[in-house]
Amino acid sequence: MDAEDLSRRVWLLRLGGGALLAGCSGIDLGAADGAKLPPGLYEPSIDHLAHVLRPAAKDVKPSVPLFFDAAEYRQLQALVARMLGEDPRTPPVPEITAWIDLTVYDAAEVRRAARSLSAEHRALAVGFYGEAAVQELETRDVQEICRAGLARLNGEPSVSLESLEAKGDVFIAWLRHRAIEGFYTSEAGLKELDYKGHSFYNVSPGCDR
Amino acid sequence: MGASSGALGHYLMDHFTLEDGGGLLPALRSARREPVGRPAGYIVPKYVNADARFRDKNFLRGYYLAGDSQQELYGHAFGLRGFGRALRRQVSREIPYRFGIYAQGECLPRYENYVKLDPGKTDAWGVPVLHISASYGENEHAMARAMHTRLSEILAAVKVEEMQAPSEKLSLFGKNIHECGTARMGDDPKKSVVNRFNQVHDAKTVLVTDGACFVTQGCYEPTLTIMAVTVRAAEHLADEYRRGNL
Repeated sequence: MDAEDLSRRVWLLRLGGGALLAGCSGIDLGAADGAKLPPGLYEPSIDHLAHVLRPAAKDVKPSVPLFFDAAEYRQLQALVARMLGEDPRTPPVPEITAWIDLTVYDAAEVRRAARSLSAEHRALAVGFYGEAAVQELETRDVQEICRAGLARLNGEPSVSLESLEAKGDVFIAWLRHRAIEGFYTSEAGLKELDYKGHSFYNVSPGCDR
Repeated sequence: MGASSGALGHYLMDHFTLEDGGGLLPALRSARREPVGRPAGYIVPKYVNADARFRDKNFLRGYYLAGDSQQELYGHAFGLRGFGRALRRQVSREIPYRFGIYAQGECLPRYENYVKLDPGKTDAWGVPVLHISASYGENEHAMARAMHTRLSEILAAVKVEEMQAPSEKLSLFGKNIHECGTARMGDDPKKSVVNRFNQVHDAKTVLVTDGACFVTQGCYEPTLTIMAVTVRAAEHLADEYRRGNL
């Protein structure tokens, strides 16, 4: 690997690893779990570093479903695997499923927070993201969409994903989006894309001053 | 302190942008990932009303154009149909190149745009919160119309596919986080808050060295100018201290 191949993530890993080895980082890898921030928010820097370093830890435990019950979780994991053409038990499907479970678990609190915005904050949110996006956050019940979608699929186990997609099935469309997002932000997905991360020249080519 | 001129808190400015213009560059569609995942940014410096050949009498001051272009990483996957390995192969083999463009315009300093301490609300530490009253005026809206026309012309000339038209709506005041003004600089203590070395007219040992001292903000990002006036103010402060004037 030459200097140009060093991605920001690799630098971060090296920096964080060095700090931990030196025993002077003060980083608590469990800190991200204990942060008292609204759902979906992280403390900058330390939490992200902890998150990046976490896969290196040897005692990673299997995920415990937060929202779905065990049967639903297995069904969800199988669906994600089908959508990606992967084995349900092989990475990255388990981690994508765990992330989707976390997203759905958080959804009710996110919706509650969106609905409780003051008029001024709501106007600000609309200014930034548009009325449709804000309304979706306020009204879309992702938990209900998922529960109903899984129950419906239980009733027709042989139905193809393609036919559901063609019919405009809301649950399938939502899950497909999450599966794609999860896969292409996973280590396997980024490798498949041959993504090397942002990198910059130390000296701009053709510009010697 | 510093309020004797009546200008303190007034003449708040923030750049406005017209965003979201872009599309795919059909000639560059590729089945191969570029060797380095480097984004390519560009800027077209302000030329309207900066050169007699490009005079626009519908508004004062001007704007710049900027954007970026890059191979799409996986965003196009959402628009593709299908599932499984076939979908993934398509995502990896039909990599589009996206071109994006936006324009950023200068906001005129207007007395009506101001900040003040809220008389009723305090934050978690008991400090009065800022009450901000600001909006874009006729000049910004006139400039935005010209910006939109120019952005659309460029996108048409580039011949992008799946064109996303630039927004016609000005960005929200404060969105660009380039707030300037409210403690404007000037020689006349009756019309300004700080002098040319950023010292508050009413209290020479109090310096305001951020973007608050700007009288106008131009159309570019303010950080380098803030750093420059800060260095100048610090050097002057050190000189005055050495001379025993403070």
